[in-house]
Formats: sequence, structure tokens, C-alpha cells
Amino acid sequence: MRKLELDNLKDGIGGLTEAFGTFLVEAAMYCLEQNNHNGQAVLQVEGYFDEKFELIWSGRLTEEVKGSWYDRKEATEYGATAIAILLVNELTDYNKFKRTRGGTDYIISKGKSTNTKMSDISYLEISGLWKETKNNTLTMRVNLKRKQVERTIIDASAFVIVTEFGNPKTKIHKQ
Amino acid sequence: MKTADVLYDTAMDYYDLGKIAKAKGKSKVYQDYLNKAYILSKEAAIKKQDDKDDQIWKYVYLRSAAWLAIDCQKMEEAEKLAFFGLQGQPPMTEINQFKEILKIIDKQKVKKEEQTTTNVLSFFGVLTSVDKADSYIIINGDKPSKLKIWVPTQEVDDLVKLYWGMAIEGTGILKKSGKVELKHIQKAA
Repeated sequence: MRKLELDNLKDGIGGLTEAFGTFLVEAAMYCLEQNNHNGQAVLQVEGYFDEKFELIWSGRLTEEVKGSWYDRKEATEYGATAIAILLVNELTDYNKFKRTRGGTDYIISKGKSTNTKMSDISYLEISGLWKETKNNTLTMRVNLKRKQVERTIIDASAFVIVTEFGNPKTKIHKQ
Repeated sequence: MKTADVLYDTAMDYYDLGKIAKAKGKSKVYQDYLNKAYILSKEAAIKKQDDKDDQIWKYVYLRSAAWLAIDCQKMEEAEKLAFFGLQGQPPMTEINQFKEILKIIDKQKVKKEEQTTTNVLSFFGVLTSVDKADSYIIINGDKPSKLKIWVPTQEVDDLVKLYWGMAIEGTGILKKSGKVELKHIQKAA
């Protein structure tokens, strides 16, 4: 089984800062550990890619760090961001991530982060679910984000990547 | 890396730092970082317009700055940035994003107008007394049971002549001071 190491984010991959990468790891660990996954988990990837990853990370969150998370929704979004960035890095040729505000979360590119052609870039929309419920499933969330992306992203490709932490699963849609 | 790109990346770092602070319950710090992110992203967007070879990022920077302006409740600034973006030749995707921003601003405007109109108070009742000294008419009714409405001094006598003892309905404007000013009055249908 392929491995996906959360700790790789701490090196600041894809143009992200080490500090931000470390924060993303903490968010993902919080989501996983609070959902009773300790030290490792199996991540099922479905949709545009069909893969299984052994999700691994080092250390454990201290009670102090756990207690510092005030907003579970934010933790879920950033935890999902950690997984999405690692998966894009692992499964596609895109290796640069540029943060944007509004519309989509990131613009990803191959090689340079300042490409000047729409065909060189792709939009990346990320979302997360703490735990799937009957009324809030991974598929529902993907469809919601898909509609949003279809409405706005016209002349470039786009990825929608949604991760669920209860029974770790990621769904990837590409348009 | 060009200055505009450095400024933009720093702005986005501030944005994420702000979100981290928010996630940890520090809302004041969040607001502070958000303001910093907005100022830097606006500066980056302005500087990026000089880059003649670029046809994507100058619009992405403008769009991000406009969104941050919305986050900071600077709606006029956001509108200006979005309009400025639409004046150029942005890719279709970015045109859609600017239009989305303008839609949000329009919605906010409508919401604000609605908030203003909720200050209008409807009344129904009978004009039973007046307070000539302070220029009020007093309506007895069931919604609200007794309402004191300010009217211009010169209109008090006319209103008494026209509506004394009659069932009337109308609207008043509720001022911040709590005073209700007459807007409209007529015989009840």
C-alpha cells in the first residue's frame, strides 16, 4: 500500500511555508486522533483516482494542543487541506500551490507558480467533513462543491477534493 | 520573485495566520491579521497591474484583495477592486469570480436597506390625545397599545381636526433615541 506521510508538509512542500505546513499537520492530526485514529490510518481515495494510502504521522498531540482547538469546523477544513495538498503532490504533476481568497482555495501549477497561461494552471477547491452522517455525506459535499466550481471555472481545469475523517476517505473530482 | 508576488504571498500568509488564530478562538488577532492581509494584497494587486506579460495573476490578486475587503467589511473597496478587474481582460473564470463578488456586495446592500426599513413601525388605533407642548399625538390601539408619535408642531391641530376619535392606521419611523416620528397616517380601511 502506498504511504502518505503527513510530516512531509512540515518541510514546506509546493511553495507553502514550513510554519503553515506544520499547522496543517496539526489540524489533520487533530481530526484523525479525535476520531480515534492513533498514529496511522488507511485513507481510501476514490473518484478521479482510485487508491488506498497508509496515512502516517509521527508523535501524538498533547492535551494542551488538543485543547487549543476552539473551532472544529476550521480544524476540519485545514485537516482536509493537508490531505488534499499531499494527494495532489502524490497523484498529479502539479507541484506548486498558490493560496487565493474567494472562489477556490488554491491555484496549482506545474513547475512555476507564476505561469501565465490558463492551460498551465488548475483551480483547487478543498473541503472537509469531521464525520459522515446520513444527511451530510462525502458525495453530497462533493456535489455541492462541484456545482460551485462548474458555475465559475470555465476556461481552466479544476479539482474538488473532499476528505472525511471518521472513516478516512477522500473523494476527488476533476473537471 | 517580483515585489508584487512577495507582497501577495505575505498577504496570504497573514490570511492563514488569521484563520489559525480564529480556529484557536482568538477573534481579535484574526481581525488584525485579516486587515494586514487586505492591505498587502491590495498593494500586491496594484503593483501586479504593471506586469504586461501576465494575464492571470493580476486578476487573481485583484480578486483575492476584493474578497479580503469583504472579509474586512470594506464593501466599497471590494466593489472598486472588482470593477477594476472587470475593466481589463480577465480570463472567463476570473470574470465569473468578479461577478460573484459584485453579487455578494449587492446582496449586502439589499440587506442593509432591509435593516433600515425595519425601523419603520406600523400602527393601528384611535387618536385619543395630544401632547401639544412636546408636539406628540397619542394613538390608543392594540398594536402597540399606546403609541406616542412626534409630529411637526404646525401639524398637530390639523391632525386633531382630521382624525380625532377615529380609527386610523399609518407608519412611523423609529429613531435611535427611541422617538417615533410620523411618516404616514390615514383613516383605517
